[in-house]
Formats: sequence, C-alpha cells, structure tokens
Amino acid sequence: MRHALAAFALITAAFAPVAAQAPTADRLADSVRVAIEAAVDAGDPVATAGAVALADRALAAFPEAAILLHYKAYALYRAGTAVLGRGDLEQARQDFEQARAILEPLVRRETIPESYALLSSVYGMQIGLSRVPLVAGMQLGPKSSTWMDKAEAAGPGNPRVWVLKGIGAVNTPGAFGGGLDKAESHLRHALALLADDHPAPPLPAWGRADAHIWLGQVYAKRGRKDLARAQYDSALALQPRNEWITRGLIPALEKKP
Amino acid sequence: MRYLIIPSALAIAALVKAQEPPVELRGAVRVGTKPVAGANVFVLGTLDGAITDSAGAFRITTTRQRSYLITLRLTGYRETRKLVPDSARAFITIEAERAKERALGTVTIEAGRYVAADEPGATLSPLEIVTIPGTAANVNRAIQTLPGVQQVDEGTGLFVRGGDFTETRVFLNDALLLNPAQLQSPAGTFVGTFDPFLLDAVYFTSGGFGARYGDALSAVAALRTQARPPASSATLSAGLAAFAANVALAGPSRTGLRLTANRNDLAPVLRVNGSTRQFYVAPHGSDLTASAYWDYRGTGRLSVFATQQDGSLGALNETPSTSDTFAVARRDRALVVAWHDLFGRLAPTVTASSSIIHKDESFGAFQLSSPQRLDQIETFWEYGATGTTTLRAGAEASRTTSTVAGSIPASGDDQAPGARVRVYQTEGSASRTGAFAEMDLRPTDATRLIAGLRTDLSSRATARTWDPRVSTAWRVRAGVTLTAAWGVYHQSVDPLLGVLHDSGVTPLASARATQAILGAQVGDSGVSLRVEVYDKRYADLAQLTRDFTTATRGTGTARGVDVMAKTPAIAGFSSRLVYSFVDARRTDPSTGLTARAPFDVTHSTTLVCSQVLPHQVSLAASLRYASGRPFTPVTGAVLDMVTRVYAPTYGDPGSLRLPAYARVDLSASIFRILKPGRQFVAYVALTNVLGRANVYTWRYSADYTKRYEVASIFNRSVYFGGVLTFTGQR
Repeated sequence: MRHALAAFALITAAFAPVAAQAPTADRLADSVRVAIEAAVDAGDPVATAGAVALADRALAAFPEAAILLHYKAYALYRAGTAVLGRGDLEQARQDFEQARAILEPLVRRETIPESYALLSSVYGMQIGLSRVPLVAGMQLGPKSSTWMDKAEAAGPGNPRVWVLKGIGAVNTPGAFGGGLDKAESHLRHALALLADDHPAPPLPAWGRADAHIWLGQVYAKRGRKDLARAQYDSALALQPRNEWITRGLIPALEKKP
Repeated sequence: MRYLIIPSALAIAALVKAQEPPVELRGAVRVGTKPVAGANVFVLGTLDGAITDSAGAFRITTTRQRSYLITLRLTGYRETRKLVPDSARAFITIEAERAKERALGTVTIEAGRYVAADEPGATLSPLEIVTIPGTAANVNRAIQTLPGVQQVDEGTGLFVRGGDFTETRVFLNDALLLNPAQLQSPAGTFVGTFDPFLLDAVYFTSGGFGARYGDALSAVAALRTQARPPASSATLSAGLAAFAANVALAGPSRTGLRLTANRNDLAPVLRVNGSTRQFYVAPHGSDLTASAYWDYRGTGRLSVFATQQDGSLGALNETPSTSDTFAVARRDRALVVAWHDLFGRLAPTVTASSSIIHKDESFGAFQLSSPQRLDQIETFWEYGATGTTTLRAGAEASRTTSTVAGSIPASGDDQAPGARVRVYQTEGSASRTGAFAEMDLRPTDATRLIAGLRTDLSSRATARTWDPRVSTAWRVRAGVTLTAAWGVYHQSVDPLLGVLHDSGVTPLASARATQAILGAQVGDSGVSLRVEVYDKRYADLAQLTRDFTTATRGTGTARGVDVMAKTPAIAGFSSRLVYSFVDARRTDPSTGLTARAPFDVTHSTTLVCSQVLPHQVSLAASLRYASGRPFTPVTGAVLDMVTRVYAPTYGDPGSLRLPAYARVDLSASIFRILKPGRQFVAYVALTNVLGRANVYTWRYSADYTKRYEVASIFNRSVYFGGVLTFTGQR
C-alpha cells in the first residue's frame, strides 16, 4: 500500500509541471490579444491578418471558447479597418462579413460587452462599405443601434464600449443618432473610464490610443487643429509605430487650412 | 530515500525537456499537384503555425514533441488534420480537400417546430414574442400567434391542430408541467403560464415532435428559463394592473441568482375600461419566482428554478338554471432542479421536478377542490457519435397524486344550488415510467433524419404504449427545405376524467394520435414562407360530457394547413402573417356521434406588424381573425315538474357556429438610456381597438326560448406602464 501511494505521488509530481503548462483557452486568448494589439500598434495589415490566423489556431483547439471567438472577430474587424485604410474595399468587406458571421451567433451566448459593441461597429462598417448605403442603413442601422444599447446595458462602465460608441457616432449622421457632439461626449467618457481600467488577462485592454485618435478626428472635423494635434500626439505616445497616425492623420491635419 | 530520488529525477527530466531547442516543421500543402497558398497550417493546441506561401510551403517553429497534430484551415477547404511523429517531420505533405459546397450550415428546420429564441434559424426572437400586441406579455398568448394554434377563446389554453388544450404539454427546463382538464370555463380556458421575461427560449412544436417528449398527444411547448445573469441588474416595472420587481445577481465563481416578485390586480383596468362581465372579485394574484445557477465549469451547469403563482376571481355567471358567482382560487407551484454537462461528446442532463396545482372552484351546486401534484425525474443523454450522427436516449419516472373533493351537478342542465349532485372524495396516485432512444442523422449538410422509439407505462393505463416517430428534412437548394414527419403519440387520461368515469377504479387506455406532416419552407432568413399540411387521427379519447361524466373510446380526425409568411426588417418595418386551416371532427362525448370538434376553428389568421422608428420608438399592430367555433344548439326544452328546471333538447352536436372572432391590437413603446446602467421603457397598449364585441358563447333564458350573446371580457381597452432597469458593471 505504501508503495502504491508513493507511486501515485510520483506520477502526480511528474505530471504536475506539464499540466500547469497545458494550453488553456484563456492562455491562448491572451496570446492572441497581445498579437492583435501589437499589430494594431504598428498599424500593420499583414500583422493584423496574422493575428486572425493566430485566433483561428486557438479556436481549432477550443472551438466553443467565447473569448477566442470574440478575439477572432476583433482581429477581423481590425484587419478590415487596416486594409480599408489602404483602399482594399473588397478585402475589408470580406473581413467584416466574416466578423459578423462569428459575432451574430456569439452574442446569443454569454460573452463580454465588447462583443455586442463590436457587432454594432461591424454593422456600421458594413453600412459604410455597402454599395447602396441607404438600403444597408435601413437594414442594419436599427440592428447596430440595438446591439450598442445592449453593450451599454451589459457594460455601462466598459470603456471599449464607449470608444466603439464614439467611433460609431463620428460615422453616423446626426439625423440617425450620431454626430460630433455625441462622439466627443462618448470618447471623453471612454477616456475617463480608461483612467481606471485594469482588466485581468485575457480580457480586452485596448482603447486608450483609439479614444485619442477618434477624439482627434472629431476636433479635426470641427477645424480645431490644435486640439486635434494634441489628441494625435497622445495617441502617438501610446502607439509610436502607428503609421495611420504618422502617415495619415497628422499629414491630413497639417494640410487643413 | 529511494522515492525521493525518483521525483527529483523526473523534475530534472521535465526541466531538461522544457529547455530543449525548438524544432522546425517543414512541408507543403497541395491539392493534387497544385500548391495551396494562404493556408493556415499549425500544431493543434498551440499558436505555432505558418501561412503557406505561393508554392504552398510552410515552416513552423515549435517545441519538440513525440508527435504533432498538424492542422490546416483555409476558407473553401475542409479542415484537415495530420498526425506526424517526430521521426517523420523532415518534410510534411498535406493534401487539402476542397469543401464540397458553399457553407450554408446544416439544415436545422424540423416539421412542426417553431423556435422563439436568440439562435440561428429561430422563427421569432424573445423580444418579438413579448412585444406582440394583445398578448399582455404572456407566453401562451404569444404562442397562440404561431401556426397551428386555433383561436378558440380569449384564454391562455393552447388548442393546436384540432386538438383540445389538454393535448398540448408544457415542459419547463425539460420538466413536464401539469395541465389538468377543466370542468368550468365561463371566461375562457386559462392555464398556468409564465412571464416571458423569465424565459430565454420557447420551442413550440405543433406536431411531429420527437421521441423525447412523452405523455403528449398534439403539441409541445418547451420553455427554457434564462441563464445565469452575466451582470447584476434590477428591474422595476409598474403598469395599470401590475407591479413587479426583478433582481438578477451575478455571484462569485460563476454563480447567479434571479428573484422576481409580481403582484397583479385587474381592478384598475376594469375601472378604466369597463367590462362586459360583472366581477365581484376582480382577477388578481401574485407570482414569486427564484432561480439559482452555478456554472461550475465551462460546460457544466446546475440550476434550480422555483415558482409560485396565486390567482383568484369571482364573476357573475348566468346559466338557464341559475345565476351565481363563479369563484375560483388557484395556486400553482413548480420546482425544477436541472444538471447539465458535456464530457467530450457526451452531454448528460438530469432534471428533477415537482409541480402542484391547487384549484378550488364554486358555482351553484358545483363545488370542487381538485389539487394535483406531479413529481418527476428525468435523465436525457446526447452523444455526438460522429460529426453527422447524434444519439439520444433518456428515461423518466413520475408520480401523479390527485384529489377530487366536492360536489358536481348530476346534470349540466341543472347547476342551481340544491340541485342533485354527485359527491366525490377521492384521492389517488398513479405512476408513469418512460424511456426513449433516438438517432439524429445528417448524411449531408442538406439532409437530416431523426428516428426514434418511445415507450411508456402508466399505472392508470391499460397497457404499455410504443411510439415510433420519424422526422426528416431535405434542403433541396439554398433557401428551400422540404420536411416530413410521422409518429404515434400517447397521453394518459387526466386523473380528474378518470374519477368522473368510475372514481378512478378502472384503468383507461391512453389516448392515441397518429400524426403525419408534410411541409416546405422557402427562405432561411429575411423573407420566408413556411407551409405544412397535416393529418392527425385520434383513438381512445376520454372526453367530458355536458353532464360532467367521462366518455371513453372516442375517435377523431384533424386535417389542415398551416402557413407562415415573414418579411425581413427593412427600414425598421417587419411583419409576419400566420394562417391556419383545420377540419377537426371527433366523437361527441354526450351523444356518441361523430361531429365537428368543439375546437374546430376552420380559419385562424394573425397578422403582426412592427415598426422601429428613430429615437428607439417602436410601434406594433396585430390583427386576429378566426372562424366561430362550433356549438351544439338547444332546439327546445321541457319543464321538469319536480325540480322546476327546464331540461333542454339539443340539436345535432356542433351543428352551428358562433360568429367569427376579430380583433385589432396596437402597442407603442419608447426606450431610453437615462444614464449609463439605467434604462427606461414606457409602453402603451390598445386592445380591441375597433371595440368589436366578440361572442364567447351563447346564454339561454331559463326556458331556453331566448338566446343571448355572451361577449368576451373586454371591449376596447387601454393599458400602460413602464419598466426601469438598473444594470451593474460586469
């Protein structure tokens, strides 16, 4: 009996380190999160597409993990916005469609508030990229609004919900519930929330640079170059390699009269 | 000492292994001889992988293992996995396989099945089901707007495809709930139902349901309660006739709690809107519901759901023999404990439940107390044998205890106080065991076949029953699916009917229905049209006569067509049209003749439209139309010189119909986020906008020479209220 117990203890001891290192959905999700953030920081479409592939690998092992499904959709959203910035509308449409296909079933399960807000944003991007935006707006606009409301209800203090809501307001005409005033309010609220935002891994932790970037665009649209530049600089301090800021937004701002 | 050395050696070995240099896996992906570029190739369980280049080549850096499960993923190709031993990692060739057809997803439609849930293929969303005008946020009333449900009266009973309401069984989290027969229904057929806000899905099957569901003859409504709250929230709602508070608490370690309390009183509504009936005690009641959840691991869930519903009313009821107060007090209780988990491919569920209905009724000589209790345990196992084959099996055992105490008039024609009565004081119990096995095959993504066999044995029945059932679906092409189902269904006789037969002494054969359904659906989402034709044949029906006795061995048929057309939301506008035709005949229990069934409502139509406007304003309208239900006319009457009560002479059973039923209802709501985490919904509903006096039944004068219309309870009426929700941060 003593021998049997000792053998059991040995087996347990031998496998304990291996078990501790076994990949879990959360561990893989955190790696995917870091990869997406690095790709976004660099403003690199290739790296963003690579992050999609990483999420796909993790999902092959944990196909039902909500956090991994969220990250794949988020990576696709980022990939879509990255290629959109380079004018590849068709690839962007495909990325957003794939993100939507993941998010629509995901939001019917238990998931994080960011998933709802992300689906709302994906609908918003699809409206903007539609060949007939008016019809797409009629079909997807109410859905986008509904899911953003749900995101806000599920995570009233979640700064990323407010960032995405602010981005949505920038891109939505005032007549349809958007506008620069609302966008500024939402993004400022997001920044206030971000000051005390410390989500535990693998939960999303992005948002600061985005809030500054989009707040900068709000000011730029209003002709407040100084305020816009200050926001872009704040974003640049967080993402010094982001080419969208250095090669896109700042030069565009400087060209403004 | 020996044992201390061994673990140290193992630990060192593990450390050495962890420090081994990474290895490189090289290879290529091909279809035949052609390279496949852009494929995601990786070692399963890790993030180590690569995207193939234009030559289909890949290089993966990973830690050394005995073998590697190399996985390939690429849109338009089937996922491919290849186990590669470390010794064979020099060059790995992966043969990719193109997907055979565009991914449409597997076919999910089943004959007769309608889903109200946030899930792919659902007919309605939960939001749609609670916002249907005229349903008063009542699940059964919402189900009544689905195909196959006949508008027999304005109660909450579900009369499906020519069947009685007792033939539709309600399951809450897989637990069967009581649905006893009713001897008196002067204001409509009212059965216990749930606040739809407690539910997150309703699976309604109007026929052709699988072997899983036993003791159900016509239809099944499977209700699933809300899951563990992801965040804490509180809701306060107040309306003209109800006040409710709802608290959802997200606890630690994936636990959660929901508490709901509701108090309702129709008196203010009656004061504001008036009524065609005279209520001495306005319908009022209260509900208390509590549910607790523990998601003890990613796939495991333990839940407890408990509810108590109380209700009572007193209203003037006039019959030829007497005018008296019909008074009813009812208490429904249910407790459902459920466990569900997933172990690899095996998903077991165990449900234990207890439900009680205690109803006391009085009207003239009719004084009845008829409590029933159903205790049940059920287990259900699902095994995903392969990607295309699922096996299901389950077993259940239940015990029903029922009491019938009181006096029931010996003749339905004389219910006056002091009339001759039969006195009952019986208490009995019956047990039922059941088991089933079912195979769900998806030979291709476009086809599905479900075949099962069920057996039940009830101590109230004369014999064990065997029910084979089969259902199939074939997606002919994208958006076009054909369905068919056939099956045998049995339901044991209601304890009250057994008592009225011979005090429950003799076992009675379980009622039997053989159902055949053919259907087609065009459109999976957006615009969709669904048509089903059915044929149902009944045998061994036990039915209530007008003298409150039970006639057995009834037979019947029901044939009909159900149609549902739905449009997608365009510019916030959406609509759906439901039409049901039925021709239902069955043995008239009072004469033994075959006649139109009392619920043979030939045409039932429901049109529901909704419009979402800017600023979160929603408008909705519904139109209901139904043929009048059959009734047996009185052709004459003879005065009984002893009792001084007229004894009517009846015409052919079911030979006349009540006037057609029609109603238009409107509702409007506005949603506002007051500030983060605080939302408000205000709503107003107008019921029976046109003020049409729908006829519920006929009332005769004491000598049966005059006939008066008895209208349904409400004419035009208004209801309004608001819901305030507080949501905490996740």
